[in-house]
Order: sequence, then C-alpha cells, then structure tokens
Amino acid sequence: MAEKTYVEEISRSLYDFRDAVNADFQTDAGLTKEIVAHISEEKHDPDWMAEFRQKSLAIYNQLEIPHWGPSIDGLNMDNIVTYVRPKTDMKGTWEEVPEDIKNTFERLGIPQAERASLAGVGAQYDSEVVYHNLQSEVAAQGVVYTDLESALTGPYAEMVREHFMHLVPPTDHKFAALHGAVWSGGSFVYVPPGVHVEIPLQSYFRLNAPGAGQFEHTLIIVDENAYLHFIEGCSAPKYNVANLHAGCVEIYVGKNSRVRYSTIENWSKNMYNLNTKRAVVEENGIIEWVSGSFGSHTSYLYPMSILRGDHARMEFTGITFAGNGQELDTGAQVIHLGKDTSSHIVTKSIARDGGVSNFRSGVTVTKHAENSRSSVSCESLMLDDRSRSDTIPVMDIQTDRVDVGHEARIGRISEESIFYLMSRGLSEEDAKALIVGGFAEPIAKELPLEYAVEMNNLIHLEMQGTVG
Amino acid sequence: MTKTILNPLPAPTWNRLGVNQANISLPEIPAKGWGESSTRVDAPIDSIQLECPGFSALESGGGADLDRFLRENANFHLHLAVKEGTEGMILIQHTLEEDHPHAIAHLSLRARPHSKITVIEVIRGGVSGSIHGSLAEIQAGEKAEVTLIQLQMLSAASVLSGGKCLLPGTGSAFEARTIYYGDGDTVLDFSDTAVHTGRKTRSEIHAAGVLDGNCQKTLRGTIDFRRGAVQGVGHESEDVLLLSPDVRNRTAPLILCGEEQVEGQHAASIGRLDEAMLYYMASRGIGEGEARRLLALAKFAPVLDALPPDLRCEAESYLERRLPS
Repeated sequence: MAEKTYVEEISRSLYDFRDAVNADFQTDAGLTKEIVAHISEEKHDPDWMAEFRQKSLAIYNQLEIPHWGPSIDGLNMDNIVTYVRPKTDMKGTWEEVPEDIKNTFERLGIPQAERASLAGVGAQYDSEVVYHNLQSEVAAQGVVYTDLESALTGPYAEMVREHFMHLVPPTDHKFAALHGAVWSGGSFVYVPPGVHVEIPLQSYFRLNAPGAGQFEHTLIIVDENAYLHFIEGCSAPKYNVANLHAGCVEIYVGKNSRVRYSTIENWSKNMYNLNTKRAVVEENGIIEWVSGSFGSHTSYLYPMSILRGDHARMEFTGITFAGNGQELDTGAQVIHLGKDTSSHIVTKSIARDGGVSNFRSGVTVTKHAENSRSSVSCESLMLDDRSRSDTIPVMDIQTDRVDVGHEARIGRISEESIFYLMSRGLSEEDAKALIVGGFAEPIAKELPLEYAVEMNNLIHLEMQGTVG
Repeated sequence: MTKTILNPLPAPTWNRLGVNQANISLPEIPAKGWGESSTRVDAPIDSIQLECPGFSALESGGGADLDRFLRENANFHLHLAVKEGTEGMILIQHTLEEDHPHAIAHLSLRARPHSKITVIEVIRGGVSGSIHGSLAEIQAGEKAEVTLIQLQMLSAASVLSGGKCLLPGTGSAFEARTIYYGDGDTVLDFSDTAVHTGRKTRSEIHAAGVLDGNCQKTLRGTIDFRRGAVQGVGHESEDVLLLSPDVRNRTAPLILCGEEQVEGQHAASIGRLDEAMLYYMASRGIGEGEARRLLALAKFAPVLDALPPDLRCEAESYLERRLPS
C-alpha cells in the first residue's frame, strides 16, 4: 500500500531550551493604570512618554479585539506579565553580559554571526535589551544603533519623539494600543544622508519568562540617499501557558534611499504573535521586506508599506510554514499615495499536520497615485487533508490610470512533476524533496545567507514511500 | 428605503478595505409596482418542474439578511428542479423603467444528477436611482452542470447580486459568467461563491466589466474547497477596464481550502487598456479608436462566446454603444 508523503515537523530543539526565570523585577500579571505607571517609573520615562502610555491604555480599553482573523480566545490579558526585567543593565561588550543570558545567545549563534557578518547587534532578553554594539567604522559614519530607551533621553530624543508611533498610532488597532501602553526594549537606528551601511545590523529578541509578553519597539529612520539592511530574529522556549508578542516596527525610508528588512520569526508554539510593522517611503525610495514565519501558536503579521513619494517602490517576499497546532495569518499591505509608485508581493505558504496557513493582502491605490503598478502572487501548498490554507486578497483601486494584477494558486505536489523527475533518474523521495525545496527556494534566496541556511535546517524534509 | 446588510465576505478581512459586507439600501415596493420580469424556458417543459418546498434550506451568496428580505419582498421567484438527465436553458429578463425603477429576483435551482442547465439573466433599462437585486441559490447533483450568465445591460442603475452554488454531487460543475457596465453614481455589488464538497467537482467564476463616471463596484468571488472535495478544481478571474479617474473598484477573490487534493487559481487584472498592445495594433494599420474598441470588446469575449446568437448581438451592440468612441 502506498504511503503518504511525509514532511517532518520543523525541529525546534535549537530554540526550546529554557533558562530558570531570574528576573530583577516584573510587574503583576494583567493590565491596569497602576501597572502601566509602574512600568513608566521603572523605565524612567520622560513625562510625554508616561502620558503617552496612559493614553494608549485608555484606547486599548475602548477598542475591540479584531473579529476578522484567527481566534485569540486562548489569550487572556489578565494572565500576561507585561514587563520582566532581567538581572542586568545593557552592556556594550559581550564579556559583561551575565553568564546565563550569554549562554542563551551563544546557543542561538548571535555572537558568532556578529563576528562573521554583521555591522551591529542588539540582543533583547524578555523586556530589556541586554547587549548592544555597533562596529566603530559604522559608528564613525554617523550611524546610530542603540536601544530605544537610551535614544529617548539621548541626543536624538527629539527625533524619537517626532517619529515614535506616528506610523502606527495606538488607535490603529487594539494591540497597537497595548504596545503603546507597555512597550519596552527594541532598537533605534538612524542612518544619515548618503551613508550606505554595507553590512547588516541585527536585533535578536528572546522571550524566556513563561506567561510573559514582549513588546519591543524598533524605530528605523534612514535619511536621503542612504541604504540599510536590518535583520530581526526572534525565538522563545515552549511553555504550556500563553505568551504574547506585540512588537512594533516603524521604518522611515528617505528620498532615494533603500531599506531591506529581513525577519525570521521562530517563536514557540504557545506564542500569540500580534506584531505590527509599517514603513513609509519617500520619493524614489525602496522598502524591501523579506519575511519567514515558522513559529507561534497564532500569528497576525502583515507588514504595511505606505508609498508616499512619487516613484516609491515596495517589494515583499514571504514564506510561511504552519504545522500542528499553528494558525499563521500572514501577508502584506500596501497603500499607493504617490504617482508612479509600484509594489510587488510574492508569497509562498506550506500547511501540514493540521496547521493553518492563511495569506491575506490589501492593495490600495488612492486617487492621486496615477500610473501606479501593483502585482501580487501567492502560492500555497497543502501537504495533507487535515491542514487548511485560505487566500484572502483584496484590491481597492480608486483611479483609472493604474495597472494592477493578481494571481494565486493552491494545490499539492504535482504527480506529473514527480513522474518527470523520476523519468530523469531521480528516486521518488528525492523528487519530492526537490519539488518542496524548489517551492521555497525563491524566498530562501532572498534571505541573508546565514538565515537561508537556518531556513533549510528549519524545513528539514524527510520523504518516504510513494504518493498517497 | 430599508437598510440591509448584504453580500458578506465568507472570510472577513480588514474593515478599512470596505469589502466585508455591502451596506446598501434596498428598495421598497415602488408605487407603480416592480419592474417587468419574464421567463423563457428553451427546453422540453417536462424536463423542468416548479418546486418550492425545501428550497428554503438552500442559501444564497447574499447572506442571511438578504435571503430573508428577498424571500419576503422579491417580485420574481423562480424555484426549479431540473430533472435527472435532461438539458435546458432558462432566460430570465428584467426591465427597469421610470414608473417601475426596481426589480428584485429570487432564483433557486436544483440540478438533479446528470442534468445540464444554463440560466441567462438579462437586465435592461434603468433610470437614475434604479436598483436591481438578484439572489441565486443553486445545488448541483452528481455530474450535473449549471451555468449562470448575468448580463447587466443597464444604465444609471445599481446592482446587488449574490449567488452561491453548492457542489455536493460527484463530478458536478458550476460556471458563473458576468458582464457589467457601471457609470454615473451607481453602485455594483457582486458576490459569487462555489462550495465544493463532492469529489471531482469543478467551478469557473469569471467576470468582465467596465467602470466609468463615479461608479463604485465591489466583486467578491469565493471558491470554497471543503474537506472531502478530492480532486476539485476551481478557477476564478476578473478583468476590469477603468475609464474614469473617479471610479472605485474593489475586488476580493478568495480561495478557502480545507482539502489537500485540489487545484485552485484566481487572477485579476484591473486598469487601462494595454498601451503596448495599442501601439502594436496601430503599427498594423488599425486606428486608435478601433483598436481601443476591439481590445475592450475582447475582454468580454469569454462571456459573449457563451451566449445564444441573438443575445450575443444585443450585448455586443450595447457595449459598443456604451464604450467611448
């Protein structure tokens, strides 16, 4: 009897180790004015920020939970600890980081990556950044890469205040409001005009405490004629209580500048990942998103690009792999405001072993965005009949001088392709491995090399038997 | 006027995009009655039987609110069960006029096993503020084939259309083809859904249209592969030609998939005529006006080709008359 094609679950052994929780301070579970005030006090917020947090909390209490996405019934905010401070200040050299935290990041390969291929690294452990470093040559070019708390009171304080949560206001949705109230950690990046940061910067977020939330804020401002590649990685050990990640990324892409933002999201399967990412792009600017979603119990993740300047461009390349117990709702959004703007969205998704992988997109071309072009392409692969994959794209076109295209495909591994490859001498197992690998390859090649290797490790495919 | 929510998106998305549902005012019975409606059955009459009981179990793509409204208020009800192994065509025509500006139609159809039925709905006329509502509930048995063609040959009229076809029968097929031309301040709101539950079922949902003036159009096309719909195949597409900077086009082509062994595809193309193609045609000696006319008509070819000759001529001349010279 023919056996079903079997694709192995993503191996999480690399990420599933836990440290004993050794917090210096943590708030009570739940969300109240007092808890938010306590966070402000602990973090020595400037007055405007303390006020901003309280306003955000009020908005949070008014807004409803989104009714259109995957269920988040398993998330009870009364049980979430919103702030956990590890027992260390931020360090500028790796040797100073406490041993247990250092071991965690060593196992995740962060310092090795820093030595080999990064211009700067930030490492966040629970609610606080524990390590931040930037190569001196890059710093000499005027590039700023620091934790957001330092930036709030440093020489760039005014710039932070002008940009913080302006792209993603707390009124955007309930979890943006939550983020505004309890955000902690994250990075601030400023690239001055004309500076090309040739080697990527990377932030890595690790959530160790069970039942906690992580709410880091990444604010990136790239001035005119500049270039930056920023890499974000995240992981957590698995617990049997819900954890929450409601981070926020805001990117300002200046005139004639280009920003590439790469993410490998590998949270554990008890994580509710309700993250918001948004970029605004000025004239002739380019934003490139590269996104791999593998972890989490439930994800809502749809980076939005606002093409404000004429000739601005966005490219989104994403892959989502949903396995048992996961419901990953991912995609992209773009709003064309400027003339002659263009957007290109390419995604692949794989659902296996009862996992749910949904693609969701929104392309809006406003009335003044004449001569804009947009193309969306999504492909989904179902590997068994217990899984699910929905494709929910929407195009909202408000002028006539546009060219908008959309295509989507869903299906399984083609028997004809297997037959063809076998006729060329490949074994059936190799043929299937090649096809699934080929399906993900266009995305993998867009990832930074070390992440492409990691993705190949994550999607470790083991084929046996014949077509089921 | 009665405020009613209709055509809910089967899987909702961001509210800001405005496609989760249509908020629209449905008409009350006009003082001088509904628009004129008629039916022509081009098939042996005994192959089609009127049957009302049991149809209430079916549901349209318009949503529960609209189903209820139309059951109570439609001026035109047609409940059909196509006999096993027969073929036929049904022509439903509505005309909207000054004294009778609105028409609301309600079609429910069961295609018995091995039957083949084509339903053509033609809507003509229209005055400022006219509304045409259409609700279709379809169920196809084993190897039954149902084709639903809608020709919106209206002017100045808004359209609400919600069709849903259930495909429980092995080898059953559903095809929906729609032509529309929206202009002025009209609102066009379409929703077509094919629900695949049987094995080897097929669906084809295709629409082509032109938007001019301040027209606002929303089209939701959904292919829903339920678990067990092994070897199901579904395709959907839309081709929209935009002629005015003041139009608003919303397209939401969904594929919902709970079965592994299926093939689903959708495609959409929205915008102007292809300038490169116009240039090529000009280089072959075809004047710009003629080239534009030919390219615009070509968008409708997949629907026009499926029509009987008399309706095809009428639809072509309607489109030629409406398209800018």
